[in-house]
Amino acid sequence: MSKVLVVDDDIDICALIEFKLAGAGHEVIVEHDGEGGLAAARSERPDAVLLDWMMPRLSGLEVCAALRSDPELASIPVVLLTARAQEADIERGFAAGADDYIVKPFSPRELSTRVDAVLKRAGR
Amino acid sequence: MSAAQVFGLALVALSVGLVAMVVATLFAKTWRGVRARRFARRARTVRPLLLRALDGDAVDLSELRRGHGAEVGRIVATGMLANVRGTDRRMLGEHLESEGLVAAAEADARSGSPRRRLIAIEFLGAVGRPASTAALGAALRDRIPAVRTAAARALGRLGSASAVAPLVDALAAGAVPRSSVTVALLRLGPLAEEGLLVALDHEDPVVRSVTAEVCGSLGLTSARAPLLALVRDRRCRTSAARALGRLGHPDAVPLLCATVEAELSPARARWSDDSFTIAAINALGSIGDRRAIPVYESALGRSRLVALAASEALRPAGPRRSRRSTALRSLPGGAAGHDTESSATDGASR
Repeated sequence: MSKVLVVDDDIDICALIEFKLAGAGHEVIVEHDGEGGLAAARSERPDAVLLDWMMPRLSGLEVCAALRSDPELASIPVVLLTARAQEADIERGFAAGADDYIVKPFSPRELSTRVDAVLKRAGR
Repeated sequence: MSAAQVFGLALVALSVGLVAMVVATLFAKTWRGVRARRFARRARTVRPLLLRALDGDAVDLSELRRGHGAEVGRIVATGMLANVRGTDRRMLGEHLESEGLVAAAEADARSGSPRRRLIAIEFLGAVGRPASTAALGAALRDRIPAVRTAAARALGRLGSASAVAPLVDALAAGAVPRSSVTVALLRLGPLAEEGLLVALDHEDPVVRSVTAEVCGSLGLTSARAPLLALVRDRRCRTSAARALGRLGHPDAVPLLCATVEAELSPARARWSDDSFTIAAINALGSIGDRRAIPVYESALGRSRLVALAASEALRPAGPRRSRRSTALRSLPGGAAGHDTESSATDGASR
């Protein structure tokens, strides 16, 4: 069973993702802001991180960059989930180190499939 | 009464008023907090039901049809539907409909409570069933502006061509802000084509103008002929010109050029319509046909904004660049703030 950290300031979205991923057999940890998410990543060492971009205290992009710059966390797959859909935003997301980029509104089934795929690629 | 007594009474009245205001503010804040906590508590029981419905479970949602459960259920469902797409979204929408929640919301769209009407309308928009068009169309005539605007927004989310006619009627009646109707029509997209083509011939010039802009933004090439006709209508021609620029078809060039030249003629010097002239020049620039170059050059000698539009349109025109530079330098203030030399990569691509 893989551990997935979900970081999003929207309670409804977190509940939805938690429901979907738990139904797919994952253990889900939820945080509602960037700093909490980074702290949870350090303490819980999840197998994958699902990050919103626009969050209080620390943006998803900053969290992603922080994860990539920490040698102990750099290998954790990161999926960005955001309403920012412009080409330039997608480029920035991948440049910050994201392994995948999902645009809101999203398909929960597709999200679950993508999380499974990044976990599998990372051997987790 | 002496002046001192009057002053004293006034001070007492002011103090009482201030205290009452503070108490009322504290009470309102406390009450909002109570309501928010109550909502959060109720949402925690409603959310799992909706999540299971989204997952395809045949969950009993009867408690969400009426009363406080209906309000909380609609708000949570609206938020959930706004964030998802695909199979899950479809399954949740179908289940909400089969459980009678859509019909209940359509009934509540006529409720005596504006808050209940608003929540029901937002919910109907989020579920997006074309059958809700009638209920939402009626809500466009609501006495509360926020409800009318919400109805327009909801109609834009229905994904049905039947939503166009009520939106156009609301636009003609001035019942809903133009921006809300425009966004709703844009959201309907190419589905709205037939209704928009009809609306281009509407008796109200505001409707014709808004529809022209929407047709241009949607890239509806079928609107080309009616838009060309609207260039001859002084009340709508600016919107028509902008739309033709977005469509980008060279068919529009001769008429736009002729109309701009007419505006630039000495006979119209005192009554020239700069907003149309600028829109038409920008449109010609977007189309990028070299037949328009003489028009740009004529426009360089006019008002500053018209000359700027013309100089921008000339920018990719290559060998004509030097004339643009000369014209810019002759403007009041010279070429300050405007680059007089285009990039070296400008060519005769047009």
